[in-house]
Amino acid sequence: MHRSAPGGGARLSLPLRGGLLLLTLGLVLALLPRQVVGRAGPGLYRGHLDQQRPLAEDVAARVNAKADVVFYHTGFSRFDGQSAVAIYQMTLLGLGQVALEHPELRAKFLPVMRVAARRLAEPSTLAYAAHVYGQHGVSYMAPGAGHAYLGYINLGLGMLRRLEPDMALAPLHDRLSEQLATRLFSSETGLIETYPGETWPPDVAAVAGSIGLHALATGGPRAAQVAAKLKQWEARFARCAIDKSGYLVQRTVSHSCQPADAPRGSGTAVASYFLSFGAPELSKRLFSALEREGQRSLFGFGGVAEYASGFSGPGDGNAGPILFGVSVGATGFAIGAARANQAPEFYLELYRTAALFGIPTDTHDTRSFAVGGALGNALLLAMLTARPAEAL
Amino acid sequence: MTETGPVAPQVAVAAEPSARGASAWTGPGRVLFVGLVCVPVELGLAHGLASGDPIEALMRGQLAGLAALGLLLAVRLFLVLIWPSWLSYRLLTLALLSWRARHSPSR
Repeated sequence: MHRSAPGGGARLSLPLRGGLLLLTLGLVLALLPRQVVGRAGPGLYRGHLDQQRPLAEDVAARVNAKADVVFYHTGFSRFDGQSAVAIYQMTLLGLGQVALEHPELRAKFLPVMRVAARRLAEPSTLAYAAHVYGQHGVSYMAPGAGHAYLGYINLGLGMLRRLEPDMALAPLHDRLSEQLATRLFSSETGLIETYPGETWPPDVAAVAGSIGLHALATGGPRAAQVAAKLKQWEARFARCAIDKSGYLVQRTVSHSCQPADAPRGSGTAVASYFLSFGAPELSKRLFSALEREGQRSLFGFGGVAEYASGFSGPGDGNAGPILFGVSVGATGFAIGAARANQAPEFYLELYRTAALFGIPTDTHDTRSFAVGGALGNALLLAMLTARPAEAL
Repeated sequence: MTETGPVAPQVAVAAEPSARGASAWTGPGRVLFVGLVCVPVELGLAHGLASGDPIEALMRGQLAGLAALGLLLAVRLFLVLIWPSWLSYRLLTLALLSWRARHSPSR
């Protein structure tokens, strides 16, 4: 039955050892990792101060420590600019959501939110937009030019406005919201271009969310009119950009509903989060598609498939690395969609995955995801602290 | 199997205290030691990367940053997924061997 081991002990037979190995591997993987990884998840979902605050402190410190408006200098102006816009926007959304959840933190985070808003609205942050359009949309939007990248900027400004209605950038916020709404509500497809010749439905979702958040932050009788127009827009947008799988098409041919890319999980998830600010029913619809079409679970860890069934591809910067069909982008953005749409189980599974690969690391009174850098930590703060529409 | 067969001397060795100690070291003890070494490595790398920006290293193709990131992820996955299974397997194997030694017909 057993034979001598080199160390002088006894050994079990090979089939028995193989069986034991499989048994322990199965049992341990099924029971242990979910208990030791992502233990902060339940507290984060419930919005506990001691879980949200250290993450917010880290993101605030990164923005405060940055002297330059751009975070990365890779030599690719589009990436450098867009990543800076994403960092400032997500910083504003994340800190704003934390401040809405814990009003006692407003005074602490408002100064850094003002800094982020100023840099977000600075044309040099996204010099690429001025390069392709001839002028940055913050300065001037020519009639007919889409400038949907402004949805990210306007959404960030909207969160600061929500906390500080008389903020210094209020006139710019009003003008951008008005000009974007004019473009969005007059579009037959429900879509507008991000850059000349490029139409990205997830960016359009950011524009719609920003218009909704502006109405929420400013209130008044105009808010009801905006809500009604957003409702009409939802139908056109859904008809044009939502695939039969329920996933959002990542890119379309400009001025048409013809797909230029596959229905993708990263775009669907981030659009679901953005739409929670202005079109919660459409947000829910996209989130349901993520649950139905994209949700993957193993041993208590969750992920979201990048491509809808029947589609495949190499992904891109929005998706990030793709492993077994599950992308980092879709999984990360789905955390925000899950909290905004009140899905605790899905949220916890996704958070465990984020914690497994992101590696939360405590330093004094801050906590950051070691692998995330400035971009990943700002994104995760916004996603982990997303709020349902009725709590905005 | 008989008392004079090949099994009996091995059982005696396995049941002998000093041999059990050696087995524990070459089995679960060694696995435990590997884990104890990996934990500070993970902590050190995580704190090092958290104070910088791994995405910048990734985008710029900085080899040291990429190596640290790769090593951290490898150690993290090993500690969370592989190491507990390996330790459990070794403990279970040791327990089974001890049980066999005690209940062997040769005793």
